[in-house]
Amino acid sequence: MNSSRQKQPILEVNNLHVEYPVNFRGGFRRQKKQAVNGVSFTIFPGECFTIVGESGCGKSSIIDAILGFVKIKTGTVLFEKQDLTKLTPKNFRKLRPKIQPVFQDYNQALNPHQRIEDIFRETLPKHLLESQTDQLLSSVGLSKEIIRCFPHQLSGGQKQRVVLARALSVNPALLLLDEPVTSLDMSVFVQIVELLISLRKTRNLTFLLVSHNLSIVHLLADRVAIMKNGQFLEQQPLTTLLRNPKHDYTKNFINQITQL
Amino acid sequence: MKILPQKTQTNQSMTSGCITIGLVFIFLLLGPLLTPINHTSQNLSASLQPPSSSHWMGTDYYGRDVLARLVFGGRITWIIAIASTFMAVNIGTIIGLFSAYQGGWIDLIVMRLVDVMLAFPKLFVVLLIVGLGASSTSLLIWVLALFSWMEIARIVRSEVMSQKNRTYIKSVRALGLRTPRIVFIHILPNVLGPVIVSSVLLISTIILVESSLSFLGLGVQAPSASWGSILNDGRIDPLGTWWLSVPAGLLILTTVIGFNLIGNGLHKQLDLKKIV
Amino acid sequence: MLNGIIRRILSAIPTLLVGITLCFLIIHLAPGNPATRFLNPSQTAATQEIIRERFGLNQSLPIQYFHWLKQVLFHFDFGYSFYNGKDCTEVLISALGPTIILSFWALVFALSVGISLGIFTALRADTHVDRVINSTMMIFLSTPAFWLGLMFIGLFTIHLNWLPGSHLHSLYYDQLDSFGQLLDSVRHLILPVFTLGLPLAATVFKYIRAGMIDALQSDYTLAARARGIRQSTILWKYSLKNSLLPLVSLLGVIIPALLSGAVIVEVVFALPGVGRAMVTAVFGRDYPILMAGASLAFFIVILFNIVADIFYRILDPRIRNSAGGL
Repeated sequence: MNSSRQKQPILEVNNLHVEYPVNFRGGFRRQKKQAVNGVSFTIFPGECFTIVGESGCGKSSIIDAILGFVKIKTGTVLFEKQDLTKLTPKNFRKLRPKIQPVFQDYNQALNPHQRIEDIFRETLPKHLLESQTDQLLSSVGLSKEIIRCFPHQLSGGQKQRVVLARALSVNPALLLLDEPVTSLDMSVFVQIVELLISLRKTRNLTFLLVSHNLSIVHLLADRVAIMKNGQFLEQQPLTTLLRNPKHDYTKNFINQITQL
Repeated sequence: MKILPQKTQTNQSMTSGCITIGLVFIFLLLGPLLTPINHTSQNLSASLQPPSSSHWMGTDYYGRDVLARLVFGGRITWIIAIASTFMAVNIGTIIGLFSAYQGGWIDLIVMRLVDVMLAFPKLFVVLLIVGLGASSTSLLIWVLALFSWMEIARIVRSEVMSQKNRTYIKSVRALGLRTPRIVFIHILPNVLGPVIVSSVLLISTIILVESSLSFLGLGVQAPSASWGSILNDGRIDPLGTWWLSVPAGLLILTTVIGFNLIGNGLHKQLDLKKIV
Repeated sequence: MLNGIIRRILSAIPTLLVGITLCFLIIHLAPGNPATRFLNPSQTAATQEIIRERFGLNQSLPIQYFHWLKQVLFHFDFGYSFYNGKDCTEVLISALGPTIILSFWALVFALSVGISLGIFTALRADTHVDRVINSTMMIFLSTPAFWLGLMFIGLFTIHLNWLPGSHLHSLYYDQLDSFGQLLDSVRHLILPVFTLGLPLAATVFKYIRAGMIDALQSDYTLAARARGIRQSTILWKYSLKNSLLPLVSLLGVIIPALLSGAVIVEVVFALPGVGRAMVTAVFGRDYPILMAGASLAFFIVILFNIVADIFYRILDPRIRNSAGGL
């Protein structure tokens, strides 16, 4: 891990604040809910940075903010030295393939009206479509028979593999994993985690993992940030954190891991 | 939302609705074979004749064949209803998509306009415009469409709003696809279900409004006919001249029920809970 | 709470302004010209000019609009009828009486029949009784009101001669004692109220039945049953309360439908209400009455929308208790 520290960071988030308007019927006054309240972190190429916290603590909002799906109140998001918050929509769109998300709800992650082959038709060049689709599918452990299927004909694990293949189809550098295995069955869970580990090696990927599931954190994470109420309580390499937690809140988490 | 027919379940209201509409359609299509008489040819000596072998459905004041007028008037009613529904659905879908995807103050203004237009009693306004203008069929179609698109726009907007934050839309946005592609390829097909259901129900509503207008003498004008105007001919003595008032009324009723049944059937088939 | 109600009322002001502007535009941009009603080729150009000036029709549309708006907003003056020169406000206020009586009783009929049948069938979902009532209601929902009215008149007035089929009172109304007058009015109202109320009852029925069935199958009802709470308590306290709530917002849909229906029913039954006045005005190209009537109808709908919203907020705890809500 020390070697990666000397490289240029791939993603740098500084003092990020995100808030959501909370609307109610017909009212004029808009209320705001603070989701992320001054968060900073840096991710280096090849590592897996993990944000751990209870649901509702604002971890998913960080992913939405990096992807430009929510308005950032203050703060900067630097991807390979470029500030995403200052890009024009057009330039941001061109940069998007570099950062790909994988979400928790695999049931909703695929367009129900699109066959699997059509998903890849959207991003892959035409002359390479067939060969690259086969290659992508086999790299996530799917057979090519499923390309004529609609999403609802696939199992949960298969869907999540398709989601991964779709993300990989645009050659990303950074994967944002938002609870990627939480809704899967235990056996499938292990398979997908193993897949993620091997993909990270073969494709030279960087991960930003967000989870409250401690088994995956244990298996994947290099550095861990503990998040509560929109703020980081502490961030440490996983081993340091396990050995020497600073906050009581963190200690509770670690107790849960060791009990597993 | 599931649009793909996953289980072919017997859907009673769908079946009976399709049969009803099919029968009325066949009547309108093959009607001229039943009666050789032109729907406008008058014969004042045979005024208000009850049904007989030469006029199966009797005659009206001017001695015109009622069966021929029912067929002709029905075609007009159907054409007006389907044409204005078609336009209303297009207008509503485009405005709804636009409003939802633009968001911000554009969305606010468009939705306020929808609220305002929904607050007008539909028959009231359509009656005004059609009554003041020289009532022509094309004006009628336009006006009916212009005051019917709001509900479609609302449904499309709320569906797009809920789809917009779905994971799959976030995912394809992250892939770097262009906005028009996301809207038309990914969002539109997924909001079509509720739109289809409400358009079928809209046909019913428009038939009721059109026949009310024609009944008041403000819709389809003589010598043309619609089911509403035929009914108006029988208003002096509704049961005495039952061949003028009963068949036309039953045809309106049957058509409206038919489309409502199909709408409800589709609603069940598509497993939609949101719209009414 | 009070704050919110005031805010809701204030937020209706722009809506109202846009609405009456739309009324003006619709009427003035509709094909056909108000002046044509009074002009004919036999008049000299000078006469025609005087007529135009007399009704302010020689000015540009924006000036006509602002003049009209000023009169409406500051003097509540909608001008005078082209037809008989009466004050539009007076004409409409006198026509409002029959419309309100008709609509009120139709609404009472629709709500009582719709709600009670809705509950009745929801408790017997998928039995024969349920299916029969449900189909009957479906038929009423699809029946054109004018046809229903005609059939009623044909059967009960002309054929059986049980009930009167037109006007608010009989000709000899003034000679009756007060009980006789009441009876006479009631007899005149029965057919119009049924005609207007039955399709509405079907709408209410549809919502209540669906809402009740949902509520009866919901987890909180099952949990209440599991706790051993009495069936009647569950019914009244849990299911009905939750299925009535959508009805309040349905009011916003029912009121325009009621006004549209009133037009038809008033024409069919020759009742001197707003709807009939409007139809007469359309045929007579009586622009001031039309603008006043359209604005009035719009105002009534907005008013009931506000009332429905306020009720909704009072009844729905999710909104009532939300921070800053209402």
